[in-house]
Amino acid sequence: MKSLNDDISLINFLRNEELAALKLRALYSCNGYIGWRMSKFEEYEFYIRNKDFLVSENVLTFTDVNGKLMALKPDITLSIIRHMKDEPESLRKVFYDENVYRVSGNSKTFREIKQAGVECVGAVTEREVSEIILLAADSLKLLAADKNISLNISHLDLIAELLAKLNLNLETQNKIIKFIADKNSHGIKELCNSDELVKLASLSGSYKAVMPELENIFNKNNLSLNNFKNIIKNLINKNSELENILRIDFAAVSDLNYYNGLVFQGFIEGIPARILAGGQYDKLMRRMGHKSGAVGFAVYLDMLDKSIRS
Amino acid sequence: MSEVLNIALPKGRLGQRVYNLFEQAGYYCEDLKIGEGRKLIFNNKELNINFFWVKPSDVHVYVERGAADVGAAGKDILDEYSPDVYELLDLKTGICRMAVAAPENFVEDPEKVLRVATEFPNIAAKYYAGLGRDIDIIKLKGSLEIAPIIGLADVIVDIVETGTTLRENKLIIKDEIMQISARLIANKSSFNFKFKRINDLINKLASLNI
Repeated sequence: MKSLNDDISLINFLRNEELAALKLRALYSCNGYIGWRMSKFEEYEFYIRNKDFLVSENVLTFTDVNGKLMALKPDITLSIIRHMKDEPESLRKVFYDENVYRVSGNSKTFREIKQAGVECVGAVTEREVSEIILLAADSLKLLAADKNISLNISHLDLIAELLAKLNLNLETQNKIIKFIADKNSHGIKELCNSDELVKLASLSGSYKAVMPELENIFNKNNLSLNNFKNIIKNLINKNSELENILRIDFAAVSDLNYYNGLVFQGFIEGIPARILAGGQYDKLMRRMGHKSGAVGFAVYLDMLDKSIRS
Repeated sequence: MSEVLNIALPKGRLGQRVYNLFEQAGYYCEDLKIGEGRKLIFNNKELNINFFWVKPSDVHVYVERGAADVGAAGKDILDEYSPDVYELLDLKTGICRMAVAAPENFVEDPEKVLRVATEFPNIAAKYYAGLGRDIDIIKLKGSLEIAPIIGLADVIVDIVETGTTLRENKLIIKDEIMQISARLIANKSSFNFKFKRINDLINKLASLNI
């Protein structure tokens, strides 16, 4: 029988995703984020009211001892917002790492998935949005080791502005958003004759390569475009390494009913789908009756095991 | 040296047509032309590309999971399985349509649940949900035309190219659901890291004026 002594480093006993979660906790703690623990369950109804905000709308349910229909958490952000006092003047920064329960990809079965994430809530300005993007890039770097990473950023208000010009019904609008997410330019062409939207959907590249193209599509004084430009330019100025990591790509689109402003998705070379996703979700805050702004992201740690082993 | 580009193509006639487009665009492999055998992986070291021949309904799986960076898949397959991939280009080949067909003398009874035989349950379910019609889906994997003849189903939802098979089995088209053609798809992660290669491929294929 061996007993643990000081020579044994406990870190060696962590599984891959546990170690990743620990590294992320350390990163977020060091940057002033406070840990959030979710030990209770929410009512099923709470998630279903916001089902389009969830990664997948399937929710695992159970009946609590008092007869209420409850759910195993499919998401953490909704609960953080629900249980946080609405203080639009101050700034609250939290992080979590929790198991969530949802259908993963095309597996058609529920899985227990380890997820980490951060939320910044309250008086959110360009500065906080920049900070979150930087933290997202650092999270990717931490998980990627020596692999290449890409943080794809888009601006939902720019997409919304082009859509508003077309006066489409909601169904067509949703189809176009799906086409933008799929880079399906030929699909957009079939539905509407907006060269601007077709162009927007096909853009992908560095700030230097793509920003001039955006300036051709939008008016120079466009507030959303300037907000987009300021944030990315300042980030690159502060840290030139980001020039190769940040990619403007409008396929990084999220539900317009919940998100607004900047949204992003993070990729690591060799991992076949996005491992990180987030953005500004002021619209979700309004839907939940809060006046605060909010920005955050989640890291899907189950993706770490999905790389192609050659 | 640029990074390797892995391309998944559907085995069979559609794959051959798509390969011809790739060849015209400058993405070819000498062995592949000679080899009519059973080999499934071909590479061109000079161009640094690999071709995989896979089952048509599996192309999106290879691409979604990153085993292939790009591939060619029919719009029917993409709509049926909704894989998480980019759909970059309409290759305008393998053109056909998804249609509802029934025996010539079939009269629909709106009070009865409609029995639909198909290889595409998701497409059929979505189409009839849009019409508000209650249906019973019978999933088959081929020879669908028999189903209404022997009374297994009322109608079929299937791919129609020339319509010959339907005519020979005395079935007629009742409704057209969608137009189908082959699409160039790409893995969402590879697209970032092999952007130049994939973008070159899109531009070269698009400039064929297909």
